[in-house]
Amino acid sequence: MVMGVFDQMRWIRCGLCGVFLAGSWGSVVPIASAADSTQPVYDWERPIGKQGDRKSPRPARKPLNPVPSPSERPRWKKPAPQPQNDLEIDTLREAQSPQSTESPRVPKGGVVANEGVSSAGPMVVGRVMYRGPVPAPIQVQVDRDTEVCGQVATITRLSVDPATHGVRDAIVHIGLGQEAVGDSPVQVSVVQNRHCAFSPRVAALRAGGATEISNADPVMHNTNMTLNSRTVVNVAVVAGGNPIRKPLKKEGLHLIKCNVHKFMQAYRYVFTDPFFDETNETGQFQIAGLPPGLHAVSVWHETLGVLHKEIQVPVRGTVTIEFEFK
Amino acid sequence: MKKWGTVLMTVLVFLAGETTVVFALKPEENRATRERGKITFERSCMFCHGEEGKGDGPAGWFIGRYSAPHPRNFTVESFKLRSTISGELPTDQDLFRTVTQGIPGYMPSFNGLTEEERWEVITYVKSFNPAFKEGTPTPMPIPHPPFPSSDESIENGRALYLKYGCRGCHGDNGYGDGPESIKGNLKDARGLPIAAGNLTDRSALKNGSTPRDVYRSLMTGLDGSPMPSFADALNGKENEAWDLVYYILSLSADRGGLRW
Repeated sequence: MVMGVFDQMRWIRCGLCGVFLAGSWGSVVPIASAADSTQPVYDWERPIGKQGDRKSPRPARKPLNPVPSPSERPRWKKPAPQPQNDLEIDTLREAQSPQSTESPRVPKGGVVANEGVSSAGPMVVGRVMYRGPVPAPIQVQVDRDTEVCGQVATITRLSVDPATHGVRDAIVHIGLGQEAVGDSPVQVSVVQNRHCAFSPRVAALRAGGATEISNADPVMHNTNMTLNSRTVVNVAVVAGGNPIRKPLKKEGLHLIKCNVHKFMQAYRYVFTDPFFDETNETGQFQIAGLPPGLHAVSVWHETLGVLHKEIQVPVRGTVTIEFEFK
Repeated sequence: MKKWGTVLMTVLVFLAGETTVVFALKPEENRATRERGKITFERSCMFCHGEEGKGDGPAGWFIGRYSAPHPRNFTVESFKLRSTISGELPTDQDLFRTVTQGIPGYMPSFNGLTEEERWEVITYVKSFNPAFKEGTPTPMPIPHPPFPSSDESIENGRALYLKYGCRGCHGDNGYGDGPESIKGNLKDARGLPIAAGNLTDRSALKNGSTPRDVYRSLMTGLDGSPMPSFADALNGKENEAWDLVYYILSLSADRGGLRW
């Protein structure tokens, strides 16, 4: 109430005689009264400006767990059983689309797409492969907390199925650019510190979701997540502590490290749309719910890099696409 | 009656005088403010932080080129000295505090600028990062410390210092000579090696050296550095937090530091 008097006034105190001068020079805004805060605060910790002085209202924060609307697209679930090779993929496709009579065609991107007809809407399935030499897991000498972490930490950055050459833990994403549509339930990606390693090592989720950090080890870790060298969250995770949930708002590749144990590393890929998947042990992925059209597909892997292709998605049916890292 | 009126006027004048510090004035954030802030920035900040605020000013070439800290890149990097949770941007008051107090050992204090000039340059600095337009950062509540500290609280703080792994970086006695620091395992967000703070030197406490300053550093962490936030680990353990704060401050008590 009293603060309103000072809205357009500025007080200047004479350093010699202590006399106060009041004036109005331009538009100046006094900070909020100390009575606005329930906590005793220092002057440098006080909020700036009166709420009523803001030209635009403070934007509402995105709720961490919004109630999904009935019109939301149901999250796609992987069907069981999973096809284990190309032949099984084709068999599965034929089973899903018994009326398919169209021949494969070459879309703009030069990717051979086998289209089928499915009553479940368009679906993109495929496999990420690598036929080159697979390096042996990295052995890192552990120099602290060896009773929990062991004497040597084994880090497997590239896991390839010898039978199918499928690459595990690759992230496949179909980017729709400005056409990104559709909602999905808020996802929570778990980052568990277990045996001095992050589990899972690689995962993808949609922006607006959250990461839940927990510690199953009897020693302290810290989870330092960065996005393009900017800290997203850096929290100490003590032994036996409660899980810590933090929202992930920005898209991009998030790098997770533990500064206590330097060999601990993981990744979370955050997308603004729901059209992504992680490859399983045999390198397979499936993405459903896509709108028809020509779409760009990209694959990221921790050590193999990135591949891009384009794919024509029909109105209905299943499209098969394969990626092979060289 | 006249006497009471004189007393009332005296009290009001006194209160108004005391509130000149509290009632910090901040100009409205608009184009004119940013332009005035740009002039101050180019005069006072550009030498280290660069013309575009990317931390690549002429001095930035050799300051922190091979080891952290490096002049802050305002366009993308995190801010260490905040009162907000880890991962959030600082409040305007956080930036004002940093500009006014400086960072001991690294960034000079700019309290030679007028208060209005400091606010203007903060407005300009915020324009480098569009994330500042997405919302107003909310500071964490920082309660008053339970004065005074006791020997028991400091002893308990020592046990917590070991429990929460502070020793790993800051060393057994707080000299910043922990095993992780000695081995060079500590890296900042840019991948540059960074040394753990020497807690026995109170001027090395970059975020301030009062109990509430140290409490704030513990709770918010120093984003961009390996120092994590302990807000979740110490959630609901207010006494433990203050014991740890008092122990950390006791490390510098015999080197000219004030015992709280």
